[in-house]
Amino acid sequence: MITASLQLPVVLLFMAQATTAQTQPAMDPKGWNLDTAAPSKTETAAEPPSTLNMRVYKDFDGHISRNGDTPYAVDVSAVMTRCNDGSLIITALVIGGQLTPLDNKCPATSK
Amino acid sequence: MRWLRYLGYALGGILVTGCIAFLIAAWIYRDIPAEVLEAKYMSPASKFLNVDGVRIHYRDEGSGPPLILIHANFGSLLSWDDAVESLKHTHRVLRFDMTGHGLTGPDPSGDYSLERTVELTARFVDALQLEHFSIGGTSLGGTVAMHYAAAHPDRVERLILLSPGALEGRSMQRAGRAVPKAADILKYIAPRALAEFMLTSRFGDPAKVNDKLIDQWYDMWMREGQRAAILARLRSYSSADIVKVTAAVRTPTLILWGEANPQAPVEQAEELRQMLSSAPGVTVITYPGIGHMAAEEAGPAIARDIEAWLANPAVAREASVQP
Repeated sequence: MITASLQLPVVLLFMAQATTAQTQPAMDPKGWNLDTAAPSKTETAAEPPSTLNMRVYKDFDGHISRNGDTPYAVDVSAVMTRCNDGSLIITALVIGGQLTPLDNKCPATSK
Repeated sequence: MRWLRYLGYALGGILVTGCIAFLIAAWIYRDIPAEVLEAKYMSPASKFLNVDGVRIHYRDEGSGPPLILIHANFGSLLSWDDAVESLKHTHRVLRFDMTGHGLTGPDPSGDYSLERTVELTARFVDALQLEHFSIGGTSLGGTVAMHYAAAHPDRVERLILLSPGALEGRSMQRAGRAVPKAADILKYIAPRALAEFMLTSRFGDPAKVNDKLIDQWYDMWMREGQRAAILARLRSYSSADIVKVTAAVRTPTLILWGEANPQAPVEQAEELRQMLSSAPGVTVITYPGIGHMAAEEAGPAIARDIEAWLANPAVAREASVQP
């Protein structure tokens, strides 16, 4: 089982699926998909609903990276809470099957 | 010996009064004929389909990719009303009353086991000639949907589980909880207060339970033969080998769970997610303050999340590549 970290140095984000991100992803020179950066704010009811489900590939074209890591892919999904005010917050990430709780909570007035 | 005679009078009086009270109660709580309920609850979308001797009531609404929704134990397809109101704009939504529920009524075979329910679901889907579709259910309906998806991975495109009862059923089995013989009295006397109690205890906010919903539940319970069917289902209920079934699910799955759910605590959502080890792309969404009857309590919010999730392209079906 992989214990993947979001800080993995060379990760090619192959598939980021969100209803709001259907366009061609922007890539920086290091290969990061800029569209998948952590959201800077919580979604609000006015925004379109979104779910997070993606597969992250590392060296998936088969070549061995410089540090000798084996190529792999890992599924990342989110555990979310639909707050009473309609906002959707991510309360945990499931990375390669492992649950990683986040310290996100519904707004006090919402819950 | 006079006191003995008085005691006899007293006991006789109590017995006669009890018998009269029972007969009055049995008359008050008598069955409602099926045609009366059909006249009251059928809609233009209502249809009946004869499947293996069972006259299954279902509703077929909207257009788009097919989505089958299965209700909870004690409920009916009406449980999905709020959700369908929104979902039918993007999907062809099919929902049916399980045997012993709603307008479908009892199963002539008398078999209310989970296996029979899943089999009837499969035959219902076949009769409608649905090749590929999404399927979802709440509580018992979720368990049925999960069993169906595990057995038919080639046909189910997406699986939606709203507080499925499988883990709850397993806990009951472990605790050896069985329906007592005394519960048979419900076949003759079933007060409306029981429906009210069941609903309020399964809502996160009991104040949201209204008279219309209570009447709906109660009316359906009072359909002829329904109460005996409900008891028979409770007595035969088993969530089967849920570990094996969940491991066999190879369909993208959405787990939805009310956080104020004493019947199936929200912690089971994570347990279920882990058990669905072969399912690609399991998504979990929880709802603060919502109880077990989430379809009734938070239908619009649930529909919104189902719609968004179904609109997302599925993660590729291939299993993750692990080092």
